[in-house]
Amino acid sequence: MKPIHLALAVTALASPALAQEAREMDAHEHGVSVAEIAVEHGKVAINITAPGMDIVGFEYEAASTEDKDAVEAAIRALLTPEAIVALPEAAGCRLTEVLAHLHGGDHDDTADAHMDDDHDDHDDAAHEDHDDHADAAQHTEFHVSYAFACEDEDALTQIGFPFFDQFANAQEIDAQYVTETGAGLAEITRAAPTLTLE
Amino acid sequence: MTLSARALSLENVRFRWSGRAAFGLSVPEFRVSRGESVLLLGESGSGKSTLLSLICGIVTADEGRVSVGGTDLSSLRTGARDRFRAEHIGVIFQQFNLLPYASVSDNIQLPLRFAPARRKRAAPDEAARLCAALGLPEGITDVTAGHLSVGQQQRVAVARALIGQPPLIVADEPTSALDAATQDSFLALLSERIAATGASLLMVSHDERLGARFDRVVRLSDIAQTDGMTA
Amino acid sequence: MILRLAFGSLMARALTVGMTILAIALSVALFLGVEKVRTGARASFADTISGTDLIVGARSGSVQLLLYSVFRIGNATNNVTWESYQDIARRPEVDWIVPISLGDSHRQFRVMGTTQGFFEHYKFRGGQALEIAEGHGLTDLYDAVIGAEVAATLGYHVGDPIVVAHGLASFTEHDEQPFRVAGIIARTGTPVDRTVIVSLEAIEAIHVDWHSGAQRPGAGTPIEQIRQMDLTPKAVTAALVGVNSKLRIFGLQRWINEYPQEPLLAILPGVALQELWQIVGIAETALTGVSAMVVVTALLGMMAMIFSSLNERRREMAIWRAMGARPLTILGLLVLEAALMAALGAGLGLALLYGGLVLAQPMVDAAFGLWLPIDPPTARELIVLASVIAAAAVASLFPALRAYRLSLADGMMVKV
Ligand SMILES: Nc1ncnc2c1ncn2[C@@H]1O[C@H](COP(=O)(O)OP(=O)(O)O)[C@@H](O)[C@H]1O
Ligand SMILES: [Mg+2]
Ligand SMILES: [Zn+2]
Repeated sequence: MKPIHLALAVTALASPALAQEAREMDAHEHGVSVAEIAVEHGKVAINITAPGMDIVGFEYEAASTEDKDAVEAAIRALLTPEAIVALPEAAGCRLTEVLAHLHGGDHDDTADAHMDDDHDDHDDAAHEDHDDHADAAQHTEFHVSYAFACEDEDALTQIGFPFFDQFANAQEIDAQYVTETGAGLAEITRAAPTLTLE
Repeated sequence: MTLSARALSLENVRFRWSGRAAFGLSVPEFRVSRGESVLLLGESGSGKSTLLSLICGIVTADEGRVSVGGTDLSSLRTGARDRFRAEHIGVIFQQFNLLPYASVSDNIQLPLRFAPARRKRAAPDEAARLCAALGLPEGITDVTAGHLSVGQQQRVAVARALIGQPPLIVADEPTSALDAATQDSFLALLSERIAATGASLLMVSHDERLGARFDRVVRLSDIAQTDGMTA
Repeated sequence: MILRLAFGSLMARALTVGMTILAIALSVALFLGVEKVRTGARASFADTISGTDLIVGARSGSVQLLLYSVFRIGNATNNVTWESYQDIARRPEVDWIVPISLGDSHRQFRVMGTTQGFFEHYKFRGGQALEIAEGHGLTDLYDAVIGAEVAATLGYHVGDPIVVAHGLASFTEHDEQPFRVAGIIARTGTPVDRTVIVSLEAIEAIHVDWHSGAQRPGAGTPIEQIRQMDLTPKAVTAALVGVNSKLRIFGLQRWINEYPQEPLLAILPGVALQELWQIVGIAETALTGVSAMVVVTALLGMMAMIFSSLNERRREMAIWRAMGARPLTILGLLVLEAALMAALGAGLGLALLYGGLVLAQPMVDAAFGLWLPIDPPTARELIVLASVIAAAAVASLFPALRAYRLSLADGMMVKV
């Protein structure tokens, strides 16, 4: 992955608890994050939702400066895609978009960094929920989404998850993936932190 | 006569089978010289086979020394003792000597499998030569052993004992399964072949009539005390 | 030489050894056969739908939705209103959408109302499209296109009349509005073979005189009048959706699942199928376990066989010992014999499996629509075979250890 310049902005968004969670069927489970991965024509979109417990070790609203620093550091880490997901070197992937935020509790912290190009390509639907979503639950969750454009789509055979090295409490990612050839479910674990795309 | 000149010597040997009706055997002294042929006579159940087991190192004496060609068997570890037997002793049983499913030549060469030095001494065609010398028909080496007559089997057993020229041949009533006529010709062949190789022969039997062909005839009761006999 | 002797020893006991090998062979064939059927069934299920990105239905379980919409197993508890369907169809991510209306039947077969789009977009076995083998597609309101198995089982030809029964296994027939077989679809190996396809409007048409599940008394509306009516449905059972970019599937799925006006469920067929396997996996594991137990039984039989042969082979062991074989060699010999038997059994089992596959392949295909591929053994199967041989060697250790102890205790002169 080529080094990229990221403009980091942490903004606080106050929003009422309105929308229901997309994966409301999935119970919030500590240690288990959820990922959606789509691959098409060398483009890769990855969304990860991780329990606050896994990322910062607590799920209450950050009050102390220590906790706030932890949240900020986590967001910063999530905004560094090479620390979270590893695409094959040979595929020559370039990050085109990254977006990370915390939600739940009273505040949503959102950090958003768009690559200057490809912006029109971006699906607005994915953004919609940022304005209105929050969670009435006690549990906080981190959301991060990445978009990559790769030169050699045939080399996109697997995705590694250095995510587990980054966050010691994370144990598992339940992933749904879709490629040109099909869709599937995969359990990515700390012991086997790789998703193989058929 | 030096110790090593002896093919076999037993000194103060005591042995007892483990088990309920335990049979015990003790041999104060028994020797066989190089090239000597000895017939050991004894009643059935008197412990002849037990003595041969001791000499072959399949069982070990509780006390005393059993030496074969100057080697004290009790000084060898079990694996080495098995190897020693393969290298130095040719064994002939009363009957059912052969693996019935194997060819005659495989049967004859079986001890060589466990005796590298003996294998080196044996010429590639020695099995066939021995068969010929023992009056077995040509081409018998490829026949499955189970298809042979009892007399033929015993002669194949002799060939097996002789291959690679071990210095001591031990035979446990090899003639008792043969009829009188075959017995005599078998014994004649056995003595002749053993004399030709210069090996010592220790044969056990309950048949007193066989004595004539041996250098020496010994009664088990003269050299050994037994107890706990059940037979 | 040892290997030759071990082989000779086995040959000498051809009958008992042969039975033992046969038992191992059958158990291995059964085990591998179960595996083949299992993977074949999975592949066949996976082949049933391809090219569809999302399946939309009323909110229920994702496996349930997959089963009733694609495999015609079970029933929908609710429908999707036409308004919601229209809303989804208007989404920018949607490339195509095909409605499906289920509920009626013809004999043992289901009747499905859909649009021309179904013939264009429903794909199976890695992207293969439906093919009309005889006749043509849906043109008239009362045209029906039938699956290959429907045609074969009921002996239908193009032009034959078909009367649709209301509901499943009911006696009420929509006999005032008979259909006509317009076309027969070439065999697909999917549930389409067992489906009668009519237009969505036709489903509406036959229910013109029906209200909340009951037929309105009196004479039915005349067909001429029905043909003039607006036959837009009020609801459909499910819809198949293709998106214009895979990258937008999850976004569209979320939008549908969060659709506020009606509780809907959108599933990715591949993901739902995997969820199904997780459920079916328990039964599969049980089946695999049972067939593994059969292998274990065969190996136990072999062990018993070796045990019972030990007594008659004491003489043989004494010969080996007298010739200089160590007790350990005797142990090795018995283990080698067992491994040889297992290897022969495994080889024969493989041969039985392939022989059985050649024979059963057309029958299983005809009976269950399940095509069992005949491929060279997979790495997994070879591992199974190797494990059987290894397990046989381990099992033979028990009698071999007994032989070891016997040969130590027997001395060299065994009483015969
Ligand atoms: N393997 C054995 N285990 C226990 N006792 C044995 C064994 N072999 C032989 N015996 C006992 O040793 C005694 C002598 O037997 P054996 O040496 O075979 O006599 P012979 O060869 O003179 O007939 C018998 O009483 C027999 O029961
Ligand atoms: Mg005896
Ligand atoms: Zn109906």
